[in-house]
Amino acid sequence: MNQNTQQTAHILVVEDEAHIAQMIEATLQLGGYTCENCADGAEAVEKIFSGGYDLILLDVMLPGLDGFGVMERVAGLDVPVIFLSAMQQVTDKVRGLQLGAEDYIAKPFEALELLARVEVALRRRGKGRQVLVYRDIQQDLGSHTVTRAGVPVALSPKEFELLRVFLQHQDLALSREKLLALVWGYEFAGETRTVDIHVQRLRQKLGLADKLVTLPRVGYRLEK
Amino acid sequence: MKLWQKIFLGTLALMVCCTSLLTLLFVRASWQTVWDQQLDRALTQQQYLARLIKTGVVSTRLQNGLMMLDADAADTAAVRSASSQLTDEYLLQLGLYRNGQALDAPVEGCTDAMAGAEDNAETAPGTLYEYSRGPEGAVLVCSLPFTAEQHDYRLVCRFSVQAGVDRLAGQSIRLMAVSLAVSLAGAGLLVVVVRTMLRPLHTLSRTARRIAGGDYAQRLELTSGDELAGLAQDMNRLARAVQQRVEQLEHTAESQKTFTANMAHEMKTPLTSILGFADLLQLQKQVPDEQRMRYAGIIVEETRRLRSLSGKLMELLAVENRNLVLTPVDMPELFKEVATAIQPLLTSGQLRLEQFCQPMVVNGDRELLKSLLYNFLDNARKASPAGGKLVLAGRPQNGWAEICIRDYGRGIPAAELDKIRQPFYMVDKSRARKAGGAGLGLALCEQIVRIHGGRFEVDSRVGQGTLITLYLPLAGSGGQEAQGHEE
Repeated sequence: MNQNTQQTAHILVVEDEAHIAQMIEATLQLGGYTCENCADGAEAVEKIFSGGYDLILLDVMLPGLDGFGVMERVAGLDVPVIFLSAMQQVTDKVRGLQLGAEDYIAKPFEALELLARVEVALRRRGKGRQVLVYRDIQQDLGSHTVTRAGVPVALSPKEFELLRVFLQHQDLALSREKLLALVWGYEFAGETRTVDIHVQRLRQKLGLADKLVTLPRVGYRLEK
Repeated sequence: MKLWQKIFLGTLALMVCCTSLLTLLFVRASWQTVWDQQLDRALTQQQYLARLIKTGVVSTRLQNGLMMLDADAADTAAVRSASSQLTDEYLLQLGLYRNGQALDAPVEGCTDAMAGAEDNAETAPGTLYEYSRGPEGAVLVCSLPFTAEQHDYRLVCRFSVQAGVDRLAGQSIRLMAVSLAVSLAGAGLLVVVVRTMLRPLHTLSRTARRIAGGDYAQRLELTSGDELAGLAQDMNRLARAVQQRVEQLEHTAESQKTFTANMAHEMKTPLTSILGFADLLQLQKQVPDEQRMRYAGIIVEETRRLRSLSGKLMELLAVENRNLVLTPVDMPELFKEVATAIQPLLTSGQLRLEQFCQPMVVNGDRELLKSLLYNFLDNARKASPAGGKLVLAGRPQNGWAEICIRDYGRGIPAAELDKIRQPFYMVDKSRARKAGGAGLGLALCEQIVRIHGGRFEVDSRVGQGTLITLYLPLAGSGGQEAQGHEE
């Protein structure tokens, strides 16, 4: 999906609910990742030890060996783990993070939230994509530079983040609320008008007027 | 003030009073003795003096060669004889009187009676004495009548008795000291005894504090057999009651917490799928038809699951909050109704239900009882293979309505039997969900049976089927009354 210069990350999804596993798989594929599913704790431990995964998405409530148990066994390996759980108690979250998990996502979650968290976890380990490419635009997340046909383009920090979100989610309908949440943060109480202004500036600076389309009553989409 | 201090001080005061009183009585008695001795000694001395004076008078007469001395000569002789007596620390002064008149210097503290003024009266006083306090300390003045040469005289002497008084005082002080020492020693002993006897109280209060601090398993072991041991027994009973109550509360709180946590999980699981797939449908520009159908299918399925869950939850809540009205329910009739209600489900599963019931009436809530039998049969249906048979049978038995629900399906593993009544527990999660189960069926049944004052037993063998035996109190059996609502 993405014209990515680097190899895509391979993710192990440990989830016993078949439908949720399918949904996560579809979401991850949408984000350009490859993944493998596993419904059992003990089996997951074996798979993780055999290696080859860049990230583990681990459900807490599993039959037999639960997520915490799996985490305890694989804590020695340097594989980032994100917990997924319907249990919302702070103690569970704290326990998960104390065991060395990268993040803790509460169910239910939105597809883009999952992708954003996965992206962050991977980038923190240097495993995420460092360079995003769209046509003649190249965004280097490491050096924080954007070039268009080899010519550097100056972007404000928020414009840079917004561009990143669009490049990471090409061809997806992104609502203003989601953009606000992903770029400005969930606690940001700004107006969706802020999003419009920044999108406008991106269009001008990068010549995306006809590619970064407005979807009436929804938001924006970066067409491939 | 502590109890031992109170006991100590009280007893000490009593002991001091007693010893003081005894000392006082003793001192008084010895006082009397000492005085008597003093008086005795004084009188002996005085009689001796009187005899000397008499001898002096007689020898004067003999020297003068007279047959008789006249009054004046006798007086002179007596006075001379008396004044020849030496006074000392004991005998302070002496003097002679005749008919109330001092023959020489009057003795200090001598009264008229002592001087012999009343000697001629009908009731002539004999020896007279009197104690008094003078500049020399305690003194004793004695007056002894005697006759010399047919003349009546009185010898009056003043003795110092200060030595006796001093001795008495010393004795008294020693006595007081001894009694005080005895009191103190007694008190010391008392402290030891009281503290030893009250030691169990420390154990009692320490244990009570520990129990109050949350260690409800703490028990007292006092074997003294006195009131304290009785108190310890009572405290043990108290602790036991508290412990039971706390455990009960903890158990209730725990099961409520588990219920809430399970419910949250059961609701969030379908929600996660629904939100995720809906999001995927909304995000993507183009979704292939095949994918769209699959996603939508899952959303529908998960939504149904949520609906089933909320329906069962509502039923459970309704049972808990229902204002129970018990009416006589004719069981054969109820069996027929339930059989009719479940028939469509049985037909689609190609199952056959055999039902028969002997005439009997149960006091109960008709709708709840119907729901109860329906749920049991529904479980039996879900466990049965296509073409199988279900049995629903009822008969009166010892005041109970005995109802059996039998299936010949896959059965429940023995290890799972004690868990199946827990809310949200499912022996096989994925299969239960496919069949639309929420894991609340048996919890609901248990609730209904409980408020009717009945019980049920589950007997199951893997691969052979399950037998549920349900007991409800028969109407008019007089034995088991339905217990109404929550106990």
